[in-house]
Amino acid sequence: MREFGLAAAFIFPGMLCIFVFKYVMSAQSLIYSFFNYDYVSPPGEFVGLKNYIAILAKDSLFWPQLKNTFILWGYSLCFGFITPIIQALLLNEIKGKPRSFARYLYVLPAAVPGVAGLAVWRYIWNPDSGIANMIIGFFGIEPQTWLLDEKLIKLTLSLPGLLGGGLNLLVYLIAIEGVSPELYEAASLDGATRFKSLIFITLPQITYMISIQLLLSISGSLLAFDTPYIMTDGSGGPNGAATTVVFGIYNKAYTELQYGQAMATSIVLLIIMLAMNFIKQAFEKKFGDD
Amino acid sequence: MAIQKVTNKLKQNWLKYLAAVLTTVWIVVLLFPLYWLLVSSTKDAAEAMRNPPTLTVVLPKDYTVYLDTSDLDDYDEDDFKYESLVLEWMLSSRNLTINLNSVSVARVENGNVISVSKLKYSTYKDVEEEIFVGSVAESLIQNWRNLSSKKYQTLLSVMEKDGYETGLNQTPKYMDSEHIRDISAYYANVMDERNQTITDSERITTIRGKLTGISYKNNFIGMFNNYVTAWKNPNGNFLFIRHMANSTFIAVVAVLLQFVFSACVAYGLSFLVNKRASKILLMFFVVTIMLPGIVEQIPLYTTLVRLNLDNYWGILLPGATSVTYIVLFKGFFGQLPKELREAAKLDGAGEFYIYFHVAVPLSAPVFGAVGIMTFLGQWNNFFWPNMLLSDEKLYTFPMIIQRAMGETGGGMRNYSISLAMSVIATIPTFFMFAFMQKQMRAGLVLGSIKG
Repeated sequence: MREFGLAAAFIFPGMLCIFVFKYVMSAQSLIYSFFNYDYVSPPGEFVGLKNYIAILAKDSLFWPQLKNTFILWGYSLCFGFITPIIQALLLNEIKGKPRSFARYLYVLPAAVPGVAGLAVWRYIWNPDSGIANMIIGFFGIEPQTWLLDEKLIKLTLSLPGLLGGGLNLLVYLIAIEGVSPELYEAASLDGATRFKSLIFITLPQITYMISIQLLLSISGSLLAFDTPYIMTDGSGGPNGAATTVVFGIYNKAYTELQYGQAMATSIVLLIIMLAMNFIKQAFEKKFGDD
Repeated sequence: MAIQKVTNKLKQNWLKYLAAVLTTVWIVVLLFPLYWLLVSSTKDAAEAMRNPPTLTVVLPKDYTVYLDTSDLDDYDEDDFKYESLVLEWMLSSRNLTINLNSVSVARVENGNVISVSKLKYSTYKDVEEEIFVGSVAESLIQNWRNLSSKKYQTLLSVMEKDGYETGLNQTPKYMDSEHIRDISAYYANVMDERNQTITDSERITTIRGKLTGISYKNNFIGMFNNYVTAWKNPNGNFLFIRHMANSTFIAVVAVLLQFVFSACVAYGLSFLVNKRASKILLMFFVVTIMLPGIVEQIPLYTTLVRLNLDNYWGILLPGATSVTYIVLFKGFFGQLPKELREAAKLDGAGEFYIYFHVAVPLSAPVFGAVGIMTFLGQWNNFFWPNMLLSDEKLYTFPMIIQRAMGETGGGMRNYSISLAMSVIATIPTFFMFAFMQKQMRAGLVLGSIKG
């Protein structure tokens, strides 16, 4: 009995926390998504699937927001995901003091807190006094409105990813350093050049790390809110071009006070993520065991 | 043959050279925003709007205006006080010049400087909020002789009354550092325009003294004016140090809570229950990883607000337990040798004793890693405090920076101040990164293994 008491003492607080803040709240979300949530006297009137219908309707804002989210994710894959991998592979070729110095410099920008970093970037992309227009002016390109341009804004939000660096780089570097040197020795005995062994040895060995980072990138991008919100000063971009799904949920709850619809949207998002996870697992089952 | 050797070496090591070149270029580009942040944070609002922007730091200037009152009868120090005020204000108003650190008006008679009045930029900024909010005018006639800290307010309210625009819409006129213009004519023009629209009782007389020249010199310390303003502007909006303290408080407490809740759960699951129970209970926790945070956050928000917990309780309590860290702790605890625990028990130690004096010290790396990750997570956290907190005194610094950037809240006027705030906010994390490299590497390694 005393053992049970002890175990309870250690485990119960955390369990209670998770139970209340995850289970109970998520259940509330699910349940209230079927109501027209009344803030003053919850839960309000029962409306069945009306919230879901409103969100999944053809003209609802949900679909453009979903499209925005996926496009932003696509851009971040092209720019921000691949860059640290290449940077780490290259950095690995440099040895000695320059290597640790370079690594230090690479990680330094990660010390800038998110909002602070975005503050600089907003200034860089400023149409009148930003340095981005000055730079492209050197190439003879006309000044752009960047964050105010409906077509350019998604690209603008994702371009900083090309700079790479930061903690992602560190993670890949650690993974690359963990590749056993015997593999390289064997390869060079077989006559492989350094470059070949990079592609055929290093890359496959860090596939595990890449897949983890990919997973994080997916969930990070699907739930993106901070960057679009701060870069567009809460407006979501011209014509909502930078409004992601979570941004839309935030608007629905905070500005429109449509809590029921907001919760319904979040449930829809949950379903989407579960589906993606399911597909990924099925994929892995098919191609994983070789 | 030497050429052959060189080209051979190039062929063999091309990857190395390419790596060196690309890495250097990439690092330079990557660090540019950092450089830009530092440089831009020293620019004042008008300089920040310059198109195209200056690439290096521009030092602000101390201007001295020379007012010759030699040939005037009945000109006393009060007159000088007043006229110098007018001159100082006009020069320091953003619409007329930029990169201003201070303005001094030197009263000259017969070749000798007999008194100097000085207006510092920081003082100007202190009352700036009132200027731009357009405070109610006080009677110039009653107050101008009692000019003290209210003096600028008064002067400006009169300026506003007669239609002098103090808003953001004017294009700043840059004082060309190369060629100093004839300022007296300039002043005279502006004075004339204004004098035509105000009533007699409040007429600001034209300056009686004669403007004979203006000089300037660079002021190095003035570079940090934005920092001073960001730090101490008490006019209701951004007392930045308080918000940094708020964030620090939240981050530190979050770390402690994480240590208590998550680590204890992991310890319990590792040692205090049988294998089957451990698996089942772990499932209870791990299942929630699938949930995107937003699902529970909306009802959480409404519940917290209705319970009046939309303060730090609402930030700290929900985040007290994190399943990722439970898994991390558990992995580490699982690797601790069981014999240690058995031995301690044989010695009659209670469970809590074992926990605090055996398990925790041995797990210092994972505690360090989780501590840093939690701290940084809360430090950078924008979404949840932004959504939850309504009392401005409780705001965290990311919220303040975001508001300082806003076009609605003042636009570019405050923008360089928001950059100064950003630099201030970077300093703590910069030190963390510089001095805690080892722990952070450990954290990343652990974090990647757990996946």
